[in-house]
Amino acid sequence: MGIWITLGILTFLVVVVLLFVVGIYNKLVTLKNRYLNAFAQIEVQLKRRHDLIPSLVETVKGYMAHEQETLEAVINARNLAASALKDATQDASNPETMKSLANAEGALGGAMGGLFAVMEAYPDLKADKSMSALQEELTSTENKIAFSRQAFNDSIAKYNTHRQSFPQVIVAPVVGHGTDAAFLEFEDSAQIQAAPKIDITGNQ
Amino acid sequence: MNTTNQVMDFFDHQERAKANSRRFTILYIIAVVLICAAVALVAGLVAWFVSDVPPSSKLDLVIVVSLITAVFTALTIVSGSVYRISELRGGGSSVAMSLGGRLIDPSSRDPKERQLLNVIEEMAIASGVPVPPVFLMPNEHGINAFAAGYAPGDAVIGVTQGCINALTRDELQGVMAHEFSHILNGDMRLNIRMIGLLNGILIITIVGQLLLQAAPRSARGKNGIWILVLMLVIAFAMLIIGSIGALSARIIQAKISRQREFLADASAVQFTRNPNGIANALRRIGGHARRASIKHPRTQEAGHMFFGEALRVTSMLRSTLASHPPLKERIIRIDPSWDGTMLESLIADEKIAPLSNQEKLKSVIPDLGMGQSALLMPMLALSGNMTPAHIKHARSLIVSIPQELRDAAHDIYSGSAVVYALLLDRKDAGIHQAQIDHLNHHADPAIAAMVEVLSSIASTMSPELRLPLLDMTLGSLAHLSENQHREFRANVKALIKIDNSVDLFEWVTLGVLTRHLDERFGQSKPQVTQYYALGKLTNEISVLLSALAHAGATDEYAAGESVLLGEDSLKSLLRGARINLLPMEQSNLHALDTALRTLAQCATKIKRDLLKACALVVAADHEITTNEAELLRAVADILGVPTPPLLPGQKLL
Repeated sequence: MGIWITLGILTFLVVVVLLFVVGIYNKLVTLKNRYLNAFAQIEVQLKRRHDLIPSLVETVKGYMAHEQETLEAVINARNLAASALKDATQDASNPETMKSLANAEGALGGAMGGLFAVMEAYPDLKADKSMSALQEELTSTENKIAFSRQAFNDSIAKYNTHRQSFPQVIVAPVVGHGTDAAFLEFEDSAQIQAAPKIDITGNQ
Repeated sequence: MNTTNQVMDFFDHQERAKANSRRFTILYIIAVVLICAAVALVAGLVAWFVSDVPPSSKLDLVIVVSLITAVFTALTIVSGSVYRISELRGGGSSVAMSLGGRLIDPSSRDPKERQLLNVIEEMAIASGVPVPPVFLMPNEHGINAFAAGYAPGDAVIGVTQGCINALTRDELQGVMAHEFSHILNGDMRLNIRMIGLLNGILIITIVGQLLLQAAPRSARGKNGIWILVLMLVIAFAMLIIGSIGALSARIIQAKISRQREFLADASAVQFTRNPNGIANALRRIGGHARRASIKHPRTQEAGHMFFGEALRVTSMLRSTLASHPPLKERIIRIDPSWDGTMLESLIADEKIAPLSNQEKLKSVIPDLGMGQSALLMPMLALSGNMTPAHIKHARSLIVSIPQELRDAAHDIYSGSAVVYALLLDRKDAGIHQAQIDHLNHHADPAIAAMVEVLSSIASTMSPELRLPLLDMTLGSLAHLSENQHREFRANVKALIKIDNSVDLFEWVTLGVLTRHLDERFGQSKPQVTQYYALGKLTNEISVLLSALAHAGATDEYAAGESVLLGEDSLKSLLRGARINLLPMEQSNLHALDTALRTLAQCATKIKRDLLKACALVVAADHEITTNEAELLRAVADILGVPTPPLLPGQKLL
């Protein structure tokens, strides 16, 4: 009779453990999905910014023919950032791609800062209507990027904390959630708005 | 066409969903008992034949073994069900994401996505539920859509890429009306119940499989061979019994699911009064290479949430296991004169015809006009049904809101700014400044700067548009991160408290936000029904009806008359108890708030009658003011009953 009780208890325990593991796994998946979705929000805004920059350069060109170098730096940084974004979109849970996106965006921020610093010397340009509209759009996009980045980092923090706490920390590596996801931090839009002296090449 | 459905309203459909849910639960309990008995019987038989105890104590042993087995089986099934249900209750977004959905940015500029968002927004405002987040399944090219979530407040809608590419606006509207009727008819809750209960029964087969795998390894020692035989017999028994149980549960589930699909089709026609929309959408599925198929692996258990049959069903079991009725049958029920042809899908880049349905609608519904009364959005539920007039009305409301505000409301970033702007005091400059100061310190500075601009635009807008605008922002606010949401809610509270008094609109805002965002961010407790009769609640009802009467009536006498009308309509429920007109100070917002929290614990049917009484009180003077409309909306929200608004000129009862 003992064997029956043992068998029954064993079966029940197996089921409980199984449900428990599946539960942890599902919660991890939900949290991961949430930060991936939050990344999709940033992606939208970053794309918007990348789309705005060529028209900005186009507008600026007419006024400052002698600043070819600055403009090229902006365009290059923009292209690099766009391709880094593409990579990051493929796999937003990879800390490596996230880091290179952060670097590329930082460089783009620097290059834009350089451009805005130079623009100070062209009062005509500052008075241009389409220019100020573009600048306004760019600023609001910057704000939205900062905002959605905050939401993204919140959800990353939530995922990481959940993953690291007990008992998830034991189960997580077994079910493919062994590493922390990376935060997205880049040199902030403050540079662009304040436009102080910035290295023109955009290297930090 | 569907005369029986025309007479029934949302409340009846919700009741029926609940009845189905109860029926399923009873069948489930019977199934669990049968399964436990079967497994126990097998275990008992095995014990009888293999045990070597003396015959005198054999019967005792068998009884003990059977009982233990039965208890463990029952525990396993029930814990499996409870676990799955609690997981699914987690919210529509996680379901949508687990199916591979990607959130569509509410401010998307993609024309196809924009069209979809507009259709959904119109439908949401017309039916009195907050605008749900929309998820796109970009890798799915079949034509399909689903609604997920436990309650209307945390519902989400998912659509496939194929759906937005292949359908015209009218067809899309038909499909969305179908999904909204699932939301409003209480089908999602029923679905989750059924998935969960089914899961519990399936667990038995899973345990059987595990035992089967574990058996050879445990067959060691001198009794090894006996243990092996034992385990194999039990494993097979569990597999077979579990499968039979699961199959019968599936058949019942599929049957209920098919009924609800017909119902949702019929409701969709009723909402849009355009049978062509949904019929053509179904015909496009028929003419589409991929039909309605969904590739995602998790579709298996979610198949019956979809608009069309998402899984391929083998022909033998089609009629019993399909979660949806056959396409042809659905089309014929909508359009009896159908000639049997299907439709080619739209070419992806075909020009989108905006509002092409409007002309058609005009001939069906008398024009509402754009006067003061037509712009009002008084909540309520005399019919409890969404009609094309509601959708048209919602569209006209949306269009009357200034573009800047609409854009800001659709944007995740500036959605909160719109709510702040609506709460800014425009009369008292001191309070106004204090509010701005607060935002400068406690909100994102760029948002704070935006608020003043938005507020001055909002001040030019007629006040009855405030509520629909608030509804619009709910869709974007649902995407804030938890920290951002906490900050937002704290700011809202602070802005309201600065003048040390809560006015009507502020109270409504708080009620709407609490109701819908708490649900979304998982802070609300499930509502438990505690009252099935109104006998003990006369005081609360008096507060409710008096508050509404004072909001509309010009003098005490008229208010008393209005309350009498309400009392009269509740006569059968009150069983002789009286409702009194309370003086204003006893039916102020604070008292109303407390009363509503108690009334929210009533059964759905009683809530419907309460709302009817409320509507009668409000409509007593044949004039519905913005105050009354907002008050009614908040009452319906706090009671937790989404109901289409009462339209001007609509027949009472």
